[in-house]
Amino acid sequence: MTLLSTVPQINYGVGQAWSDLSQILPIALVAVALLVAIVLDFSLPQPLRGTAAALTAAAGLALALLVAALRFATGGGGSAYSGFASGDTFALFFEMLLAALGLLSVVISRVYVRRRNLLEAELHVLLLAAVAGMMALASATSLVTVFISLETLSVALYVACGYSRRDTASQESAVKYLLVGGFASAFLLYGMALAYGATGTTVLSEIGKRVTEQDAHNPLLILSVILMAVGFGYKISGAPFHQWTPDVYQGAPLPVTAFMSVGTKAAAFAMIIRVFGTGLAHLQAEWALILAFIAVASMLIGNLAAVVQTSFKRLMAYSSVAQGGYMLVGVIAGGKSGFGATLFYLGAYLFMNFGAFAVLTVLVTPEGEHDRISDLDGLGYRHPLLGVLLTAFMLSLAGFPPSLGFFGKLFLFTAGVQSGWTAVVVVAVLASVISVAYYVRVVYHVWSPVTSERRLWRSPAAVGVVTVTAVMALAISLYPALVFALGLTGAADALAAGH
Amino acid sequence: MSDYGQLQIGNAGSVDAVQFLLLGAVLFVIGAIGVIIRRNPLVILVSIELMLNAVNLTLITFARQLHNTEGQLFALLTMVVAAAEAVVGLAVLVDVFRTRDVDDVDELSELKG
Repeated sequence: MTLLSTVPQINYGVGQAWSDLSQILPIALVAVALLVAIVLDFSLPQPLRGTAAALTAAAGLALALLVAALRFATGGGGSAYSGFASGDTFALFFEMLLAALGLLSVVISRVYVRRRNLLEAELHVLLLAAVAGMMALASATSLVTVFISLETLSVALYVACGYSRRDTASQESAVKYLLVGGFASAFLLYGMALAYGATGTTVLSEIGKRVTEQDAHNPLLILSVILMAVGFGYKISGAPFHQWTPDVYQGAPLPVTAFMSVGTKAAAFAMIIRVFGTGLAHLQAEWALILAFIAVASMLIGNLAAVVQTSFKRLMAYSSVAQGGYMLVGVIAGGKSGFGATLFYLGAYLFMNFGAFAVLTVLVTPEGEHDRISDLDGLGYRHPLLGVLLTAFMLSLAGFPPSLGFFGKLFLFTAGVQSGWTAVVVVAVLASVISVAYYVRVVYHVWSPVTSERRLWRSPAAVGVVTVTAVMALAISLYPALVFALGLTGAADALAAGH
Repeated sequence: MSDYGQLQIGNAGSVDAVQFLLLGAVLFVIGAIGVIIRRNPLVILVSIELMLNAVNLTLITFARQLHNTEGQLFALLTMVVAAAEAVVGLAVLVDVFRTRDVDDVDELSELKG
């Protein structure tokens, strides 16, 4: 039998093309904005390029947000492109989240590059490419599309990390991210190849049907799960695969760090839920055990290492390692409530974490960034609004009631206990207690009577972004059940695809 | 794993598909060792490419065995991705080499804490 005879007849009409395209419309809109921004960047006169790219990016992302919200409200779509992508509510949840993140990033990026006298348009283009990759990752339902989307977002971010080209810290960040990211991708890819070899398909819903509990003894699939878990561990910066995170976060330009700390985490969790939750649902006992190990290690190592940091960006990097560990509790709990809790926490994390990074914009000078925690000394007296909001973000990240972070952890830990992962939840609660130490230390510096000598740069746009994230965080913490319901809807769709 | 059967290669007779899978695994491990023990960033980049190509060999062997084209599609797209990654990787390294001569990744150690 020759290979050609196995190729199906191509029967793909215009109607089918439109229906497929409508399933990934938010991604397509971002991609179109990306192309338009590139064309504008080389066709307009130099002074207009930055503004044009920023406006294009904002328009594309706003449209994507609107379309995703409308499609979510009407119940979402379904499988497209022969099962390679999906426009279900799970994808739409992440598309809304990432479009919102993109909009916030456009503003912060613009403020930042103008302050530092860097080129503007290219940064918008890179972040749009990363958003498109992240959205595609959330909607990818085949190993092939998962890998391509992951690399789209990664390659765009490698460049973005080195955006401040003359800055040796930024260069170092890019090189480290690139080498470690490429290494991790290779592991992930090998795991995917073995899963394909064992099941004969790359479509996740098909893999879900072909893999049964008996496959726990299939060495090919077990090796595949281990290799993929290693790759995922790197991408969510879970311990012990987290060492790149602090260096990359510290060296990358501030808007890029703020963007990737939230965006890659959201996209990578979408990928884990799709691949493990949908594709390998019957091997949950195996992958949950590996992820539980990563979760416990991340929560302990992340929180302990964060305590001794002197750089705010490094502190937030270790904090993000630990936060990734909390989110994994929802994934290992599994099922609708577990995945739903992870989705809710990712939404909450967007506003808490991005807001905290955005506060740092006021300390940027044309020469560089000032990210030592002591640079924040007395911020509360010098700029009361930012002081109060940064305090709120820190307490929320630490999980004080009745903040957003508290509800997030409540949903995660409840799901964990209900599915029998009590020991992991106990570790998570203890780790949260450790985390209070460093989050409160930041608050102490913000309200310290000794005032830092650093000049504050009171950019209205940056303060506006911080305020918007805080208002969103407050709104969600007033109606947590509403957003949790959105997360549950998305999780149910992702689970339904595997059965 | 004998169910993966034989591959016909030109006139040279047939070879067990497992041997191709093993070759892929060996190349992957060599690449991984290269990333871990070599210090020159360019050599590390080449080792990562070796790992990706080892996976391509695995994918194509599976595709041939399963009489299924998805593996070939996957391998082709992986090549595109690997090329894009190499382009970006070299550009980033050129940027670094312009400001200093780095022949050891351990010299990139400005960021720590």
